[in-house]
Amino acid sequence: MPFSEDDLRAALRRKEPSADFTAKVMARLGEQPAQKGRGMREMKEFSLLRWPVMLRWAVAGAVAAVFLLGLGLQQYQRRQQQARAEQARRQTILALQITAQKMDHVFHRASRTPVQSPANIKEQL
Amino acid sequence: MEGDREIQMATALRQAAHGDSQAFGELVRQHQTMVFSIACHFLRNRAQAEDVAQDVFLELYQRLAQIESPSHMTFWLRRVTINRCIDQTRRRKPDVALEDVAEPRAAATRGDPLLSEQLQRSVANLPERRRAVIILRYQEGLDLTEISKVLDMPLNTVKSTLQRSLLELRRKLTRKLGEVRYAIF
Repeated sequence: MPFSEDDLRAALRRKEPSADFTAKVMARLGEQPAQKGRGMREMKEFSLLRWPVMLRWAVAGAVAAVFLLGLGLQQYQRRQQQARAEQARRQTILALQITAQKMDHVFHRASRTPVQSPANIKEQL
Repeated sequence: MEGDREIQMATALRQAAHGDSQAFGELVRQHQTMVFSIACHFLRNRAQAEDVAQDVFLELYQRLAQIESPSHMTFWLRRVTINRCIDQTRRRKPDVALEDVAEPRAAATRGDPLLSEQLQRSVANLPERRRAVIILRYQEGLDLTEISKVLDMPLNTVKSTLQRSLLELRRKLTRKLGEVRYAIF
């Protein structure tokens, strides 16, 4: 066996980077315009899980109230629409009834008038 | 002592996450040797290793909000360094070899320098995953379970990869040292 595990550990011992390594990293850090990390950190800080319990409940209550309000408004609008449709149906039926009565009246008047033959009409002329 | 360091790191991590650049500098100082060494043994090129290590720390800064603890940060740094080294290896061939660049702060060599040199060369020539396993095992001293987590590999795959890598290294070393002895004598 040409080498032991200790030989390998010795060969792969840690090496120091150049003395100004940290300075180089910090300099490159200064060159970066946007700090995605900070943005993400702020997002994390303002995430819902970090809010106080009362505030979380308040927000949940407000969301539920808005949802219920929306649901109620939708139901109200549907009822209003149904009432308007019913009223229109009644008005149509009434209009048809009035028309039927008028037609009846005309029909009776027409049936009571005697029918003149063409010869009588000629004599009258 | 270790507990104190952990607390200090946790404090620095929290402060850095709130935009304290000095605290981030401290995090860099504490972990730069680990990150640079992984990259250096993986790439066998100091200049590329420094670039990769700097990129890793810049990415860490961008993701500080996602780091939960100092141990998570160490885990994250090892994983990202290995991944970046693999990317670097695939992207371009090494332009300046490590042996051509003087080490500015080389520590005193323990053991056989010739053997160390050959081992470093042989490790650097292993396939990427095998190289990563060997570096995490013998540079970082991780156990097989930790290696499987860092590399996102099944434990049995890590075991077999490690065994195969050691066999390959022994085979190469036997051949190379044989050649050197032949050249000397």
